[in-house]
Amino acid sequence: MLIGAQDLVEVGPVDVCIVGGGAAGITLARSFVGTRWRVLLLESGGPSFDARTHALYDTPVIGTDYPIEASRLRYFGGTTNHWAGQSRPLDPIDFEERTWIPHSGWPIGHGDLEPWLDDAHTVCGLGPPEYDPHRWSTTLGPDFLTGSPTLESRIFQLSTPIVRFAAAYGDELAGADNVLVALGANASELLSDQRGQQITGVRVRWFDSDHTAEPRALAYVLACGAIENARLLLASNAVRPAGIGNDFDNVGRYFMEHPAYRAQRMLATPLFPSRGLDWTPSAEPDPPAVVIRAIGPSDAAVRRHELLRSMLIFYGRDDALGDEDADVAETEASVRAGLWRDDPSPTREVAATSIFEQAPNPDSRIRLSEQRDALGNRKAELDWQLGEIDRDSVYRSTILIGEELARLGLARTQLRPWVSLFERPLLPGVGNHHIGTTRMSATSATGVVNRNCRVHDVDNLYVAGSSIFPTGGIANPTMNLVAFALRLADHIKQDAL
Amino acid sequence: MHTPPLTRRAFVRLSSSAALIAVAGCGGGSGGRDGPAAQPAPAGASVACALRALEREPGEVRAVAERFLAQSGSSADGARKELIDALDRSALDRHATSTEEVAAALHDAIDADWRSGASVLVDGWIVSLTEAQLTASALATDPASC
Ligand SMILES: Cc1cc2nc3c(=O)[nH]c(=O)nc-3n(C[C@H](O)[C@H](O)[C@H](O)COP(=O)(O)OP(=O)(O)OC[C@H]3O[C@@H](n4cnc5c(N)ncnc54)[C@H](O)[C@@H]3O)c2cc1C
Repeated sequence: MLIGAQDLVEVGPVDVCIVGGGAAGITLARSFVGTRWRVLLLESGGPSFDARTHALYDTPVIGTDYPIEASRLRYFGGTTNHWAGQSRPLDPIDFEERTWIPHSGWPIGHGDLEPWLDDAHTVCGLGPPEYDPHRWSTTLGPDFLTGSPTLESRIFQLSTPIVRFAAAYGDELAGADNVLVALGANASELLSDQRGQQITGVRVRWFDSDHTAEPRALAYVLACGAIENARLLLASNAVRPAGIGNDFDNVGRYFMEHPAYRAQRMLATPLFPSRGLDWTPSAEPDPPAVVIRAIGPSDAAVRRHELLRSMLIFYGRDDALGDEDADVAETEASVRAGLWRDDPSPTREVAATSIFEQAPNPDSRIRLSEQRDALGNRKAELDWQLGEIDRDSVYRSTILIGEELARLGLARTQLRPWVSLFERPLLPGVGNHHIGTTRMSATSATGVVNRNCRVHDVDNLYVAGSSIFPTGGIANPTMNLVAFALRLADHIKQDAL
Repeated sequence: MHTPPLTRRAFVRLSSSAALIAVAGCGGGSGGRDGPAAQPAPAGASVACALRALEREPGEVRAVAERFLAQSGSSADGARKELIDALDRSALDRHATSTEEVAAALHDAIDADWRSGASVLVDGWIVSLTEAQLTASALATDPASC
C-alpha cells in the first residue's frame, strides 16, 4: 500500500523498515511481498522528480571536482530513474586482498554472492549471467584477444528495455498487503538505545510540517545510496557523538568512483576489428540480451604488474580531435588522393576512454557539513580524493595496453600529455557510481558492516547498496548491489526476524 | 637543438612508411606487410650493411629519431651500434646476413620489446625501443659501420 509520510504516525511497529526506495530498497521490499513479515519502505521523494525534494541532496564538494547534482535522484525508484542499465558482475579478483592495493579485500568471496546473480539479472532486465566473450561471438564477432598474455575482452550487458525500478515494481509493492510504501518520508535520524547497539526507530520528517514520525521495526535497512547512507549514520549522533557504527571512524571514508579518462589517442590499423568493439550495443536473440565489449588488462597482467583494474572502451571515429583536427584532416585527404601508395588501407583514429577501479582511500570521504537542508538536517559534504596509486595505474596501464595493441598490430597509442608528464592533476570523468562509504569488513576496526551487511556492533541495523563494497572493481554497481539486496533479504528472513 | 613536436600526421606518415619497419600492423608479424621494400643488401653482407638497406628516407623518420635521441641523450651512431649489437646477440651472423634475415630479426626484437615492456615514449607515442633505435640508426653518419 502507498501512504504519505504524515500517515506514518498511525503505523504500528513492523518487522522490517527499509529507508530508501531505489534499486536496493525496492529489491529488498519485493523480497518480502507475500510473506508473513510486515515491511515499511520509507522513501523521501514522491512518484516523480520534484526540485524541492531533490534539493535535500545538495552536497558541498570540497575535494576533487565532482558533478554531484545529477549523479543521484531523490524520488521513488531513486537513481534508476536515469541509470543507463550497463551491467556486469564483480569478478572473483575483486574480492581478493591484493597486496599492492592497501585496504583491498572483502571478508567474503565471489562464491558468496553467486547464488543471487541469476535473480539479480532478471530483476535488472538482463540476459543470463554469461560473460565469456566466446559465448557472444555470433553477436560481437570472434574474441580477437584470445591468447594475448596481457589483454582480455570484457562483456557488459544492457538492461533492455531499461528497468526503472519504481515504474517496473512500484505497482507490485503498492498492491502488496504486507508492504507499506511511505512517500515523502525523509529519514533524518536513526534512534538507538542508550548503548547505541540497538536501533529503536527512525525519525522521519516531511515538508510543510513541524511534526515528525518515529516508525519502529525489528530490523532496519539503510538503502539510500552511498552518500546518504553515510550521512544518516553520521547524523545519528545523539547517543554516540561520532554517529552510529562509527566507533573506529570508518563511516563515510573510502568513497570511490570509477574515474574515466581520455588518457590516450589511438590510431587503429586495418586489423582493428570492424565490429563488436565499438561501444554500440548489439542485440542477441537467443537468449535475449544486449551486449557490448570492452577490453582491459587480464587478471594475470594486473597481478604481474600490480595494477588497479581498468578497461578501455572504443567509440569509433574520434570526434574530439581538438588542435590536431587539421593534421588528421590533411592525413585523410592525402589518403583519399592516393598519395599514400605504401599503405592502401591506412590507419584511422578511434576514440577511446579508459575506466579505472579506484583504490580504496580513507581520505576520500563523506563528512557532515555545517550547512543544513530545508528540513534542518546537516548536509553531507563530499571530499573525493584520488591518490598516487590511482595516478600511477593510469600511466602504467595505458602504456601496457598500448604496447599490447601495437604488438598485435591493432593500434598505435599516444599518451595524452598530462598522463605522460604528470603535468597537472587528473581531472577524471565519472561513472556516477558511489561506492564504499560503509565498507564491509571482518572487524569493526576496519569497516562498517559485517559479511551479512549488518553494522558492526549494532544488533538490528543493515546497509544495502554499493556503500558496502570495499573495492569497486570495474563492474557497474547496480546489478551487484541488487544481488546483495536479495542476499540480505534472505539473511534477514532466516536470522534476524 | 629544437625539434618540432611529433604531430599525429608525422607519426601516421612514419607508420605508413616502409622506412619504419615496425609500423602498426607490421610489428610482431600479426599481419600487415611481409617485409621492407628497401633495396636488399647483397647476400653475405654484414648486419650493418643489411640494416643500412632497411634505413630509408631519414627525412621520414627524423622527427622520431631526433626526439628519441634528445630524450635518451645518446647519439645516432651510438644507437646504431646498440642496435647492431642487439641483433648480433640474436644469433645473426654479423659477417654474413641478408636483409630479409635482419628484417625478421628486427620483427622479433620488436615483438620481444612489446612483450617485455621495453618501450619509450616519444612525444607521448609508445614506440618500442628497437623501433626507436632503428629511427635513430637511420641518422647515423659513421661510415665505418657499413
Ligand atoms: C546518469 C547515471 C547513469 C548510471 N548508469 C548506470 C549503469 O549503467 N549501470 C549501473 O550499474 N549503475 C548506473 N548508475 C548508478 C545507479 O543509478 C546506482 O548504482 C543505483 O541507482 C543505486 O541504487 P541505490 O538503491 O543504492 O540508490 P538509489 O537508486 O539512489 O536510491 C536511493 C533512494 O533513497 C531515497 N532516499 C535518499 N535519502 C533518503 C532519506 N533520508 N530518507 C528516505 N529516503 C531517502 C532516494 O530518494 C532514492 O529513492 C548510473 C547513475 C547515473 C546518475
